[in-house]
Amino acid sequence: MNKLPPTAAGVLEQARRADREHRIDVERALVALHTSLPVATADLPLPGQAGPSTSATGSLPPAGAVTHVSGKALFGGKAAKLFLATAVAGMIGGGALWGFGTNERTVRSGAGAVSGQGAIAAVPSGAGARVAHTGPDASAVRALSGLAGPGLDEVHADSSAQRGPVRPAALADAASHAAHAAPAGGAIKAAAQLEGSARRAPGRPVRVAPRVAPLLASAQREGAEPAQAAVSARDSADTAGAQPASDMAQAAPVPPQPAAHAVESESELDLIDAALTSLREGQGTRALSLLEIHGARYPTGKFAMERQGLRVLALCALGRVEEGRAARRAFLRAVRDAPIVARVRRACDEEQ
Amino acid sequence: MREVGSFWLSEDRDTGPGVPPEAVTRAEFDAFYRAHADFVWRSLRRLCVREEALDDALQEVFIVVHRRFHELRRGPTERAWLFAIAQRVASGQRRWVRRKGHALPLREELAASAQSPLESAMRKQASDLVQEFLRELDEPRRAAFVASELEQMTGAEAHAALGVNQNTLYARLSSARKAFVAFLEARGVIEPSAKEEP
Repeated sequence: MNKLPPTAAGVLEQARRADREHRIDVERALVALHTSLPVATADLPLPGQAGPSTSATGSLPPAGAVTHVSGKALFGGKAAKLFLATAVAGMIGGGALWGFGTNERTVRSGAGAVSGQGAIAAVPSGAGARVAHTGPDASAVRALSGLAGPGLDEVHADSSAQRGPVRPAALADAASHAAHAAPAGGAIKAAAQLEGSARRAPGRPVRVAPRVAPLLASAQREGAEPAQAAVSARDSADTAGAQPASDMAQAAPVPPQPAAHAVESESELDLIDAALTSLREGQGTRALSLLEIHGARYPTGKFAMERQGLRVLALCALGRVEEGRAARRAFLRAVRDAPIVARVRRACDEEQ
Repeated sequence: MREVGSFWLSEDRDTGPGVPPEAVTRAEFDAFYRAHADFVWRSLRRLCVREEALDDALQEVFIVVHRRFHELRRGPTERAWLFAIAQRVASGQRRWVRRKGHALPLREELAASAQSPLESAMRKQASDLVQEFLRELDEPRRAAFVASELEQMTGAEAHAALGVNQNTLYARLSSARKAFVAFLEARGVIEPSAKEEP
């Protein structure tokens, strides 16, 4: 076979070198890619998960509900340091928390301490975790029902915007019930025990929260006794298994809660990645909250564009079509072409 | 069934809903992406995907990769497998009428480059020249030239990537090389009267 003359080969070599001088912004490309992968790609179990068992297919029980967020990290060693809040909510009288949006059920649950020393909920903000003192039980209930003070606004804000049948009263009942069901001085129930006693089909997968779950879970104030803390968290459908309130009496010791600095250590990409994962798992509310946190922390960050795009997708996935379309218009005005644009362009149209 | 990469990529499986892939961890997939994204992007560009469509094409390739990850044969043929997918995507992309505009390209220039401005200019000129040549080339010869000359795949790799037998591959490559020399002569890079002997 003929060979190239040296000059021609030299031109090719120069071209090869020029090619190698370009690099892709891999992380941004990956965010865009995972945004575009089909929903069915829940077949991408995350490291640390027990296989493709994260599908949110649980059914809501007629009476009572217990949710939990386990402390298992998803993304390997670094995130394994993070511990997640554990939360328990009992529902009274067949009350149920049911979800909103397309395929999401978000349950905000809480377990109040009965020591009467007040509940403490720490909520991440742009500057890190913020600690909000509330009053005794009543305040704990108020906080858990989404009516808490400013310290809870960030995480709970999206609750009020939900279209679904959010029932603050039910949430308050749940929190109240949880508070009284817990033994005096007792600890918040551990997820592991709840899993064992939940009215869940044997072998049913246990949901694992993403590594930034501490961002969404209220952590107890540093130095506070576990029994003095009301920890609120949210979870998604597949953990919304039935749970008699009495099961909460089988409390396990509370694992160490994440400190504020653990929250602050999450990188910009971690937040975007977690929002993306939440979105793909059908947890639009969680995704929105993560995006809000990202926006507060990295308003002009590297992934600001992706944040706006994912926000459109999350709003549309939640059925908040008007908001979603408005956000989409704004996004498409600012970003004409980028890997995520095609997906955003279809949002709110294909969801309908 | 297409000729391109035909022994790996059957038409029905590549365009249909697909067989549910075997479990692949996100870490595994992301690691694979990080290892090969530049190669795929480069290949797509050399396969004459339009600049403004490159990022979409890259994404499309890896969506296919994700769907077919279970078919991946680890080892030296990984690039060939990817190239076959990239070639198919490039074929499709070239037919598209794409929207204009490009706000945030994925590629980034390396910040620290040791080359002088002159070297940089020479490389860019060479790169543009090669790109111009590739645009003029027909698709089969272009793929052979990109795989063998630019990506410097071995004969076996290129054979696997292109899905053609060795004789066909060599014939296309030989023809492409002649065309390249003729192209350089026409551009005055090689003096026609003073052809270099290989």
